[in-house]
Amino acid sequence: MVNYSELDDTAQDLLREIGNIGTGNAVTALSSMVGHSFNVELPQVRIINYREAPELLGGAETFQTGILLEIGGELSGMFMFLLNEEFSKVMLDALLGPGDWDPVNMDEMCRSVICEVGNIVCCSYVNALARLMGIKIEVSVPDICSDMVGALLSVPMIHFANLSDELMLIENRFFTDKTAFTGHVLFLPEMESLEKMFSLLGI
Amino acid sequence: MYQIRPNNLAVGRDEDEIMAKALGSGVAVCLYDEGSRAGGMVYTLFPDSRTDMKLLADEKLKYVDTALECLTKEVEQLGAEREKLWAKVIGGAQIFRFANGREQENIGRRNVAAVREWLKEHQIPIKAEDTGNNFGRTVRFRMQDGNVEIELVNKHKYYI
Repeated sequence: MVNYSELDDTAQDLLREIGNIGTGNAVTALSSMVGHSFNVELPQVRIINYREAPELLGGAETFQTGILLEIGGELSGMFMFLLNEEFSKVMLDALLGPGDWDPVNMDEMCRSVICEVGNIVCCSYVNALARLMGIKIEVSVPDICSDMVGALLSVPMIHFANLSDELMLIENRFFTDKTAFTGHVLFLPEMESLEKMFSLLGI
Repeated sequence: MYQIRPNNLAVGRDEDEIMAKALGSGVAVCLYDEGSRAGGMVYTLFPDSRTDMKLLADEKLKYVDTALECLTKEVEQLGAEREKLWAKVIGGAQIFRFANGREQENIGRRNVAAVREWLKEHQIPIKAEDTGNNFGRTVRFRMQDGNVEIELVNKHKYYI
């Protein structure tokens, strides 16, 4: 049984590095998607217990939009990108033109735009992971859901609860000249994949 | 107001209220006896304890079957009459659709099915149910009259 928290500092640094590179890729991709640049702070990469996750994301009943992606191939698990109302609005303004967008009640078009944003962000991390470890990772079609963050998290929580109590949470704070907003990425590898990751990385 | 987390239960009576926030695929079951105005709620995530080969004593509340056994015992100890109990069942949503439409991934539906089966087997009638679909629910259970309030992400509220 491998647990994230049993990792020594070197291993945790490596995970952070994957987080940093992924965030770098994500910012580049998002900037080129919307046609202007974002700034981003150094991401906070944390290993947390499932029970702490809702509080760190603003409380169980907080509204968030989640995009879930399954990965397979040489590593399996899930990535979830979570963005709040503010972030969704910025993206909808940038991609569909400024408007009175309501991230809480999105129509099919808005949902598909935000889903694509999530897809791009998650794939940025998948690519970072694949490149750093020299392996191939397959990615599923993403699915999107806007709801209370506690309900969104129930999906990975149930899927992984018998395997591990921990997940990796990457917090990114973005800036444009006008506004600041936060997005979170959760990475939940299957247990064998976590073991494989560490052996590939020589840990 | 007493808040329960996943894999937990609480019992109460009269003025007590029990809540569970942001249920997704997990399921909440409320048991209540109108005569003694006593009841309880359990919030579980998995359908069946028999799939877990090494179930620990403190993991009973993780599974529908073992959790309902615990809840029934606790509400009886509080003075509720076993024969008069009814149940309300909430949650078991399918929040995300998985790739390949893997049916076994619809754990919400399996949780609800496990609850129905257990209740039927133990002859506890289901008085009301708000389950399935694809949205999260916050649940508040009032011991005064057995009313259950359900609140959605858009703050819309309804009662069962």
